Amino acid sequence: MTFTRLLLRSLTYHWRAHAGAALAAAVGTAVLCGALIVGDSVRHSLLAITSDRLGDTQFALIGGDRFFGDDLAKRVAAQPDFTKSFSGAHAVLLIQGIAIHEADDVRAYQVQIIGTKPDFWTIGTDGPAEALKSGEIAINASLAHKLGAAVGDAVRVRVSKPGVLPLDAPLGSKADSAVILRAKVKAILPDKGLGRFSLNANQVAPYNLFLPIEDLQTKLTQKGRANLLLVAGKGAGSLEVAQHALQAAWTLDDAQIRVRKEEALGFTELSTPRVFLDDNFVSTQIGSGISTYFVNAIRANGKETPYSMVTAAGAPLTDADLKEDEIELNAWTAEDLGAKVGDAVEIEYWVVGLQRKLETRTASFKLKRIVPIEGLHADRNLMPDFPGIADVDSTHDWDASVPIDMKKIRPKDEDYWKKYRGTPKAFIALKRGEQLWRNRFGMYTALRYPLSNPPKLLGTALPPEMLGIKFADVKNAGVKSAGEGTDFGGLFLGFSFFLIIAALLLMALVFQFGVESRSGETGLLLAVGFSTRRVRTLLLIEGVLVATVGSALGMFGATAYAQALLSVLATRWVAAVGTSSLEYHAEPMSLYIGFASGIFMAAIAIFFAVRKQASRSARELLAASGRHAEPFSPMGKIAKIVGVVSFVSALGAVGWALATGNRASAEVFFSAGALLLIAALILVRRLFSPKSEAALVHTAQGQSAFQALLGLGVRGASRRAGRSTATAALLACGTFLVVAVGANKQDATVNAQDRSSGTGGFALYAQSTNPVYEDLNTKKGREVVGVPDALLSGVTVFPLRVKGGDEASCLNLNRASNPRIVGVPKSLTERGGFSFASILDEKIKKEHGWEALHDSNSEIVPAICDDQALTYILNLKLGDTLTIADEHGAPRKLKFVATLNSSILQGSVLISEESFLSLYPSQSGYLAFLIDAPFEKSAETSKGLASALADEGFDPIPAAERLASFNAVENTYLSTFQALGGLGMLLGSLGLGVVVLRNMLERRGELALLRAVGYSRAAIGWLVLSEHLWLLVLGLASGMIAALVAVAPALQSTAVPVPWLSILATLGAVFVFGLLAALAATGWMLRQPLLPALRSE
Amino acid sequence: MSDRVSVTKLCKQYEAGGEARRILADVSFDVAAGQSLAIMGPSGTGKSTLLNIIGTLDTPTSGTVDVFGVNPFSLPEKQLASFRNGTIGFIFQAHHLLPQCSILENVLIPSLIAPPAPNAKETPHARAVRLIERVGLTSRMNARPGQLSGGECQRAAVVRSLINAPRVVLADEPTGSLDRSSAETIGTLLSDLRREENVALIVVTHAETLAARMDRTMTLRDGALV
Repeated sequence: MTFTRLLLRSLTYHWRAHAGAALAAAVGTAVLCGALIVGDSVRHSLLAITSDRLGDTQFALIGGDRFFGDDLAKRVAAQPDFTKSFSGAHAVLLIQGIAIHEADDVRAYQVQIIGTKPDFWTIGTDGPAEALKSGEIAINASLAHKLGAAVGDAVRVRVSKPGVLPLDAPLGSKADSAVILRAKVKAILPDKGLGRFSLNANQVAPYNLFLPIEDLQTKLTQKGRANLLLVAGKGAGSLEVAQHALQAAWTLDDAQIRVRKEEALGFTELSTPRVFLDDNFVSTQIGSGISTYFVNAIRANGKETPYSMVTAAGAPLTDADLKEDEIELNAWTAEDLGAKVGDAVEIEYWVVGLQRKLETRTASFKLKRIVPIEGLHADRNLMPDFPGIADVDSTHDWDASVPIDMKKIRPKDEDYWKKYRGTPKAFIALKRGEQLWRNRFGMYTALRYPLSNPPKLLGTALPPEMLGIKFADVKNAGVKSAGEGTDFGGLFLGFSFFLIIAALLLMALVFQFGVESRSGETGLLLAVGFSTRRVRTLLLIEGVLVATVGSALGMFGATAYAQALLSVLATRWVAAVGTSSLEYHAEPMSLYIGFASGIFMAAIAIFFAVRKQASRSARELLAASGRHAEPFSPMGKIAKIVGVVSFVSALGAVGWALATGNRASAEVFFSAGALLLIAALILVRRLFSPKSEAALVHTAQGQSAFQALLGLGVRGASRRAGRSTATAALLACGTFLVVAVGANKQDATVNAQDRSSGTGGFALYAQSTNPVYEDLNTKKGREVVGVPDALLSGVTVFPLRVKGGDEASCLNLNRASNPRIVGVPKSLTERGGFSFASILDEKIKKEHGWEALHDSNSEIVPAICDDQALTYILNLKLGDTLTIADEHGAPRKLKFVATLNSSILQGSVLISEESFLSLYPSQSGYLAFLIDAPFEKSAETSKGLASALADEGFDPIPAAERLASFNAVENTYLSTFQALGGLGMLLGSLGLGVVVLRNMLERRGELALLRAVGYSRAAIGWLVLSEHLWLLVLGLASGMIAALVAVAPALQSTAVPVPWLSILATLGAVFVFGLLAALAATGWMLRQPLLPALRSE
Repeated sequence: MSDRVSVTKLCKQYEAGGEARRILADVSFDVAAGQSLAIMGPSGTGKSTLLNIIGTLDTPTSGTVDVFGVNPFSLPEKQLASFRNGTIGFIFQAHHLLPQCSILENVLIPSLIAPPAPNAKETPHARAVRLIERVGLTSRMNARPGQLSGGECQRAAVVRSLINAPRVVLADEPTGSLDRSSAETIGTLLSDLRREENVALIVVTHAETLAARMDRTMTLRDGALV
């Protein structure tokens, strides 16, 4: 005989009891491991999506509004080191646009219009079967579904023609520069492979439209240009190699830098078709800066020369001694104005403010010199390529984005234009020019070098980093975002918590039941000298072996459980994941952790189950073979006080909420409900006191046998007051959680008009595919976009600047490593709205939280983010900093100074508009809008704006609807918890059957006596059943009543209906399941011979 | 070292409902190795409590118990368990054989935790086989308790009590649940084995015939020896 043999004997002999415990352990492990597998599967699916959307792309050079030669790909790929490390480089022209199904006029906004060359499709899978020809497009399934388009259908593509000069810049291109491209759908690509090509980490497939790059280049008048360069490989190449190859292949043309050498005039000049040379570029140069600006008028002696170019420069263009308050006029202008040296001269010019508001300013000078129109002063190339001006032959053809009063242009002005074009009419000191018209796009329109000292960069490659042009490691960033995304394993472990606990409790109950029925055996081992520890160890080992078998079985269950959850996630709970592309995947480590954790948790449960049994004395165990009456311990005074205080506090909280009109405060009512639950459980415990028993028996006197048995049964619950209370409490807590959580779904419409709500009190939220530049709050702005002024009467639009990036909200399962940045206008700070969860600076009150955005004295940009998103999507906390790249690729730090409660602003990192423009000076126009409109006219406003701005892809939706889309995720999580919690309760109700068995086994002598004195089996059955039904009813009722108080605000809401059907079905199922379990246990026990028990008594 | 079990002025009282209830009062006696003692008396007079205290399954309120020179209650729990394993053998009214084990295995259970005895004449297994043969259960050695009669099970329990060659065997109503014939067999066995194994045997019993087989008989009434 050995310990091992003893263990094996026990395991095999008690296999029935062990099978029950093993099954319960299997359920626990299946749920636990299944949750981890769900986590693996979601992570795996996100990685698969990353692989799909990027193909073999490792690095991407994202030009945005900078266009380089599309042959750059070939030049980069030709670099010797590059070919060793990468499989290829591919030029792409990518722009946001609108797709319109021609037949039905169905529109899709925020479409990625992707101009590709045939080699693009080599970087990934699922491309079109045949190369796209001119006039043909391929769309992905998401876009096809949105448009209702099929192969062969005609689709119109509307895109904004990118200007050489950003639209917010002085004399920027005209806003109405949209172009339309008509094409036929050649192929519909699946939402996998390159069909979901995107540089942003998101599990939701974007709307993608692919077309030959030449078609798009032609339409955008960007012949031979691209704005995205993809480097593909299998991971062997480094970022340094790619960047080095780029630098070697990079040309001035790619950088949009022009070189002009004027031998006769003795200089070399660098300029750009983008008008303003990038400050970063300028900072590296030693050339003399020149800035030529368009002014409205030059005035002197009461005369005016309209619409002219004025150049700010140093010598030799201006006199070396020219002071800041002095000006030089060319001879033509001096004559036109009748000006002579020493006269006062005034220039009037525009500066472009926010929302393209033109501000007219003037500057005064003293005429220092009159220069002839010859030599340097006759250089018409001093005028930069102002769109709509520089490229026309007549002033009558000017098509500038500023309101030029053509009536002011005289014939002599037209003659000047024809003769000298944009030759500057006046010259001022460079420093003065800088003071007058420096803007965020730059200052200099040219840099000049003496022929003897040419720019050093000429003849060599221009470092692209200088312009913020560098490769981004999109593959690793994508993999990191997917790998560090929402932890569904942890999430589902949380959701399954109740189910796991129920399984473990059930296992512990079954095992304990088995151990208790073997108390004689335990007692004997103790009596013959086994120490308590050794007996406990023996039982524990036995239990762990059972748990191991159970956990092993559970691994099979885990697969089924995970697949079931994934299936429901892809269908019924799709709002939580936003994609149906979830693939089953189990990591060996998760299986191992699930298996080991299952055993570990089961071992802990078993430890507690055997601890009590093994700590009983051998005498006790042997004398009664485990049958002993639990001495009644009266309820302590503290418990009574806690009960009373909880009850009074619950009433107080509800009373306070009703009295102050705070009927929608979920926190107050939930707290009241929880307190009521505590009070109810203490009351339940009190019901099991002897005094209460007597009262119950008294009421049963003189009643029918049925009622008498019922009374006796109810009284029986007091036999094991602790166990009975624990049983009822478990049911009560489960009911409370399932009902309270299930009914407490977020309702976006509650207080939607309240400024402190998640809508911020805004009626509408809009996004625009193409930027909107005009101020929709002004009559002029409304006129420009064609919105009737009356329609927007009483409406205020708060435009937001947007720098695209990863969605940083619960809608994105990936970690948002490169979050979308939104610039918030000062006007929103003044208006206020939304509610702040936390503010770093304690001096700022929560109602003035937006002020935190402007509380900056350092280089660090203050930022605000959704509270939950900051924690779970960005993995940061209040006060942390996030480093992002600014427009020039330089690292900039954002510091989170406040967090918002759940709102329609989720998904973005919010900074002030001022900070935004300092980070992204080239980002022109507005892409998102908060619309403060009377709620009764929100539909009309929405329709009017959508119609007027249809070409921009302006897409307004009720703010509450946007909030609801975020809430849908949370609500789905709540549904998940409710469903899995309900399953846990069902499993827990099985435990009631075990409790019935244990109780009956302990009292079989007593039951045998009842049989002996003439009770029928049915009567005894009813007696036992009524006792346990009493526990079931007490538990469910306590939990339900407390939960109803907790969810009172939800009950008042009409918008998100409380899912009563599912809640009541869950509780009904728990009741029926519990009843059946109790019935089965009672029936089984009654079939056992009771009279021998009487003899043994 | 003492050669007997000595009980001196043993008292035991319980707290019940806030009142002290005396079970044993100044009980003193001793039993030498190879001797036997029957303790009789009406139900509830503390016989089993006395036996449990001697067997260290319960503790005295006052008084001393000396088991072959050892005061077991001075031992820490682990050593006490070891002491019980090596020095005391138990026989209960219910045989408490493990239903999952064979008779041989049941008999060997106490030996599982016994320290190895280098000078032992025989192995536990050989001793078990010999003793099983001695009580006439050789043919049932590999049977399970459920396949044996009550008397046979109790014979196996007797063997189990002797497997570790204890100095004292404590039997609590060993024939209480047996028929007359089986009770006779057990009585004879106990008496014979006590001599053969040279153990001190203390038997609590209501059975006059069993008591008559013991060297001495004491009667407990209201917790005191009379």
